[in-house]
Amino acid sequence: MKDYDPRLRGSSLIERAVARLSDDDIVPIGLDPRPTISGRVSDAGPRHGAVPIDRAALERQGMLVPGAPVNALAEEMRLVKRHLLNTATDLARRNSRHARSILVGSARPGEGKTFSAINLAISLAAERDLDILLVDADFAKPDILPRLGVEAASGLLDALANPSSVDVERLILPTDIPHLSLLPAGTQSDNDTELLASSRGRALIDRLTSADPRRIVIFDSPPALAASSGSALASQVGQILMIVRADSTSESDLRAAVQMFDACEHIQLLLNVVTLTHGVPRFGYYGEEARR
Amino acid sequence: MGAMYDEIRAAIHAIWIRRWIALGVAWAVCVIGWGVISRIPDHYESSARILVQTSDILPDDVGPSPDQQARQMDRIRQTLTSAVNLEKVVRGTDLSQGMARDADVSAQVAALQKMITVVQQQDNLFKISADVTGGPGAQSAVLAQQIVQKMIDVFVSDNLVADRREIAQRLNFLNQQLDQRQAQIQNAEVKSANFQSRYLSGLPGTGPLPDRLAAANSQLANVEQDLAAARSSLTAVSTQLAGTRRTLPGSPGSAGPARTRLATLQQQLADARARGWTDQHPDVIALKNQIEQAQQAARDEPVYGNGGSPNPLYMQLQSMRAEREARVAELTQRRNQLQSDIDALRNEFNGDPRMVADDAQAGRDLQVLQDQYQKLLTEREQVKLQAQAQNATDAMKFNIVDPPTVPRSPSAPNRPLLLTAVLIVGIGAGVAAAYALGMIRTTFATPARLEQASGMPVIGSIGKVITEANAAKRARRNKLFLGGAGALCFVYAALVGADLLHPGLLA
Repeated sequence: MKDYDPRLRGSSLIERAVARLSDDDIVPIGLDPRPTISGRVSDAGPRHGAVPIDRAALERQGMLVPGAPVNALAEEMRLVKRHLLNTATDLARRNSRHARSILVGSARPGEGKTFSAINLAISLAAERDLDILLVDADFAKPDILPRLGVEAASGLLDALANPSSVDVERLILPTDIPHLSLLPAGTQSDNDTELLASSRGRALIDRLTSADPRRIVIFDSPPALAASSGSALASQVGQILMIVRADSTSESDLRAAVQMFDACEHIQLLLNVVTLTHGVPRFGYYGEEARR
Repeated sequence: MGAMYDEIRAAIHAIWIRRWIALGVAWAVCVIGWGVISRIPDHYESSARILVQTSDILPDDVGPSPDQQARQMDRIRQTLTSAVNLEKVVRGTDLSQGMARDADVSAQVAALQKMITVVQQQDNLFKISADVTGGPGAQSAVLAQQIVQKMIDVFVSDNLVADRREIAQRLNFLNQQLDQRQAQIQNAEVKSANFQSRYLSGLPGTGPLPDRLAAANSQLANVEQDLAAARSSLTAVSTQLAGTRRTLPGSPGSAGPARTRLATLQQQLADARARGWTDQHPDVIALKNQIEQAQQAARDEPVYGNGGSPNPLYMQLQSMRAEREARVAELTQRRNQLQSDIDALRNEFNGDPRMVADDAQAGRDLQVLQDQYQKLLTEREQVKLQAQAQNATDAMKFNIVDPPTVPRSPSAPNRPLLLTAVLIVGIGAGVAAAYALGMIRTTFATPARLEQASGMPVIGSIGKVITEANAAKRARRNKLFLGGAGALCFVYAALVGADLLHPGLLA
């Protein structure tokens, strides 16, 4: 009945479809295919002026570590990444302004937004011809920088609050992971939603994507049912990756959150923390077995 | 099949992720259930079996019939649990402790009635059991045994006496009845004899008056018929006689004997003269004398009319007639006597017809009395035999097959079973609660489910990432869970063990 391919068994239809596509098919169209220096191999030494990412912390938290052997998580993230890039290509073909922005959101806190956003960013950064900008838009609880072991700095909110004096591009922190830069949340304010929703905010977000044609912006948003700034961002992005925590997020919460993100047409779901597998080893083991 | 397998796995998964809820519910149910079980009072049951044997030395037709025996068994059962018996039991056991008033005793009797069950296991095997609850275990156990023992005592003594008394009473009654009957029969017999000697002696036949009267009448009819016959035959003889001649005409020379003799003598004289005898001859003289006498006789002899001989038929008929006449006279006299007897009786009875009815009634009564008397007599003989058999053996034997024992452990409730049931129910409730919760609050375990439920594209699934920190945490939580579950099992085992080792401890 099924092809006996451990990569395929137990995945969803979409996963299978994506897996069947060869990598060449999904080279993003419309994204500038300028050659980069050396892709993934450039981990060798820290880039000049880049903030160092604490790899040990990454490993401790179970996140992807650039340059580490491929594990199950990396495989899973690859599938997600491919899918997102496909959608982005699609959007670009249709001349969407927001083709290159992705919002990572969820219904409730603790469902794995930040975790997924960082993993996604690291995974995407491994692509040869993309620059990834990971924006911490969870203003109430900015978590990306501490998780990556980076010192807090001024960021998006400062730029929103003082558009005249602060240039947002100068706030972007390049990291020692190639093609990955960070935009911190910045100083907390009480009217973040309004700031984001304002025309100034829109302009600023637009600027972030349009500044570099190779850039893909990933927003780590606050929980949809806990803070409203996420929904304000929804209209500014091309697609939304909604994190659903397995065995935890309830159907009603999911529906409410999707409603909050109504402004965006492309909402895709990602099931996180899956424990019920179908008796098949997860992706990573496939490679490990082969290596032995 | 695959879908069902997935469903089952999903259900198990849904329960597993809510295992803490399941454990909590299981604990709660078990603690409450075990608490309730420990509140159930202990029941102590003591039982004894007694075999009631009726004597069977008598043959079946003389001894008590099966029906009688069944009734006897029934009576035994009834009396065993009668209020009177139970009151004796109450007074004879610890139940009456600290009881002064009758009301208390009767209340206890009512309570006792509920405790005691008497079951007839076979035809004559009774199981008496007492089920005592409440109070300290040891005391209840002893009390149960006491009650059963007392039941048996009261029952055995009562039944033995009662049965003997019953037979004696029956014998007495039968004797009285027989005496009465005898007297009645004698009276009736005397009356009947008087009546007979007074009125019926003259009549032929036996039996009561009407029978005899009928017999007499028929005899009278017979006699009259005979008389008529006799008369007619007399008439016939007389007629014949009249038509018959006295003498036969054809014999004129017939002389009477005297003349014949005279002639003979004269012949002889002539013969003597012819020989030459003279008149002086002695023989001639003798002959002459004889002739003289014969002449005299011949002169006296009547000379028949015409001188014919008498007719023998005439003579015969004459004697027949005389005979007939005598018979007629006899019959006539007989008839007259019968007639007069009957007439006399009729006269008498016509004056008082009740007497006849009385006599008939007396005859019937006598018959009935005699029958009754016979029956009673056989019955009395049977009863006498039974009584003697009862005296010779014990008519009713009570064998205590199983003597009542002091129960060592409570008979109910079956605590290990209940404890186990509660444990199972508790675990079941926990599982059910976890599952129900999973049903109420829909979450998603697999991408397929998520896609199905939300209708939105699911682009991937991320497995649970196991870091050192959360691995340790998970191990700790698992340990805790196992500890919780283990503690539940341990408490269960301890409770069951305690109950098995020291029954009644939990009550």
